Amino acid sequence: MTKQPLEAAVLHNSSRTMTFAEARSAYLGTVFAFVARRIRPVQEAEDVVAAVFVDAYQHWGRRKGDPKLWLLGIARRKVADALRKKKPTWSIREEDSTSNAMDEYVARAEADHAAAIVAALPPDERDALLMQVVDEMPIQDIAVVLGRSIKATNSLLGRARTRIRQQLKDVK
Amino acid sequence: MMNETQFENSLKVAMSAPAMPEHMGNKVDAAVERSRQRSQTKRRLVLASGAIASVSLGVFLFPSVKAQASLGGMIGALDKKTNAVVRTYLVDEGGKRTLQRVATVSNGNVTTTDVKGQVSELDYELKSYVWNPSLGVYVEFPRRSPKGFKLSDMIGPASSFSLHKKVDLENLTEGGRTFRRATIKNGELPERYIIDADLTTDLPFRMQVESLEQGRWRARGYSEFDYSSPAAVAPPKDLKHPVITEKERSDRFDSMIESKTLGEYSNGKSFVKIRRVDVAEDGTVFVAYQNGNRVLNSWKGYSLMLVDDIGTMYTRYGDIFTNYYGTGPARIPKDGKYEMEVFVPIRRVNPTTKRKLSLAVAVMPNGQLEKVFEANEFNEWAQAASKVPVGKSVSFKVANRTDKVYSIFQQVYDGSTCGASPSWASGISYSSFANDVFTEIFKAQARSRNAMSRKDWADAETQLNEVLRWMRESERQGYSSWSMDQVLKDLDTVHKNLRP
Repeated sequence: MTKQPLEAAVLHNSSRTMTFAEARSAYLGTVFAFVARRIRPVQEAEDVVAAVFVDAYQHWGRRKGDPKLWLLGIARRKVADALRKKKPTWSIREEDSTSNAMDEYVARAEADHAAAIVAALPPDERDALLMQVVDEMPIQDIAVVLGRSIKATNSLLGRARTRIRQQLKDVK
Repeated sequence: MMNETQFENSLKVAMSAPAMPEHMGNKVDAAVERSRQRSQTKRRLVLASGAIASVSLGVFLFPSVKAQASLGGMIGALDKKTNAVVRTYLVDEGGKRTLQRVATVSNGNVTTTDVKGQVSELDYELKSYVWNPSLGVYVEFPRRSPKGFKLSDMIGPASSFSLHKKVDLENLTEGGRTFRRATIKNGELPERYIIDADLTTDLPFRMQVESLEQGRWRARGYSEFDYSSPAAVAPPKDLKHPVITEKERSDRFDSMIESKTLGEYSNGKSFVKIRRVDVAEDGTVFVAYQNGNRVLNSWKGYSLMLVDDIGTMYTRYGDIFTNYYGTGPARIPKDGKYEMEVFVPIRRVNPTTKRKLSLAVAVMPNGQLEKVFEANEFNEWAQAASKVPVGKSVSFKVANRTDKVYSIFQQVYDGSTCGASPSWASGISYSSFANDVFTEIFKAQARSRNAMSRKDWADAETQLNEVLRWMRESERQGYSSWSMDQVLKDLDTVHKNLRP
């Protein structure tokens, strides 16, 4: 029988199980949520998400470990790059405000306050905390995305929480 | 006041993600596709001053403020100049320079001529005119930078997508003249741009493009900026060939390629229409087809498979080659993008050898087309499909399901139907099949990859040397300069295996 080696798109490492297309389909929503929580307006977030997948596509053959976490690692760097270009704003988007009720107002004020506290954290601590609280990622995954050991990530989160507790206490 | 739990809840509110827009997937796919096409051209070094209209213009994000300011000075100086002549040379491995093209800039209009004096591109007022050698016409489309061209655009050669540009500055003296040198490196790309500018006027007077090959930088392109020669750009009416619009070009291509349906499969959920099958002089088979608006799910190969009755071993370049629309707007035909599969025989096939070509697709139980097969499965079902008549199917067990494999095209050939590649191939992938030299590079690369995957090191050495030979030929003929770094690295690997 004739052998016909299939080496389609060998630009991508075919020895690994997940193709770029599969990862793109599986994790587009995850990456979008990760980026859109940190970059506003949403149009800018879209650009960053596109840049994440372009980067991923270009380096697909060299990826290591869980594709989702690898993608989030790229997303984290792209977000940092994008935020460096502009002063980050952590306030709630206008469209999140749907009524003038006092409850809404308080919720918004508290949200703004929480965002302001997080914005004041050192970048690594902020990233770790947001991944834990907002993205609800387990510590071992956060460690992978940050490129740190679990122990170092725990320390980072500990320091972040200490600062936050201090901030909340100061306000009291 | 908030406690820690309230804080976390508030933070979740503050950082809630908006719903993902429906177009997000398409936006990602389009960006990846652009990147893919760009990466093909990046293997060809971008000689900035010769690629004026196609260059994504100058977004500089340099980490060094001083460097940025200094480069900004050069840009400012260039922007004050309205006229210049820029000559771009290819530099071969011996350091010999060969004129490749001349760009003339005058009051925001730019004309680029090749070594034969043929205008290859004209940017005039609000329109651009690009020479299309396969049609023998200029294609007109709206100018990307309608406000006009600035000389500074020439030193913004790398992609605006990258956030990783880095510039180093130094002052040097040469022949008693002191000048400022900016060395620009773009991320991990194995190329750098060296711009030398006058210390007083800040105007660049030369630029060199270098590629990193086996750890050493080698000059590949060289440009001279001349601000004193008279610079005039003739209007489009002086072009010596007819002008058609981008839409006309697309319409011509669409009607040409859709005028035939050589084979098809449809089940209500999925379809494939075979539009063209051509056999090149070396036996390579080019297949153009449409398959709806599938975008990315064939990166690792697709179930459209070719087999012949003389046991030819083909190496398949499975990829999506989208419609080439120059710099015009992307437009998707009714039955989806034109896609192409190129099956390169790992040994040349005498074109007069009679062979029956069979194309087949596999359909999953849910009606979707198969997209990825392992090599052994792929081969087996292709063989199976070749034995049933067109329109008929055979069952084929894959993992825990049974596919239907349909034969959709069978034809006997006893000669080639085109030269190195069919003319329509450049309409689908201009960067790979714009001319015979690029086509030969493509084929040699496909064969070398195949030989390496088979660990046939002797064959790999032969094929890699073919790649190098055609890359040098490309430079010799003034088409494009290629980065040889990866080929040389692959050759090193081959030599280590041949002579450990």
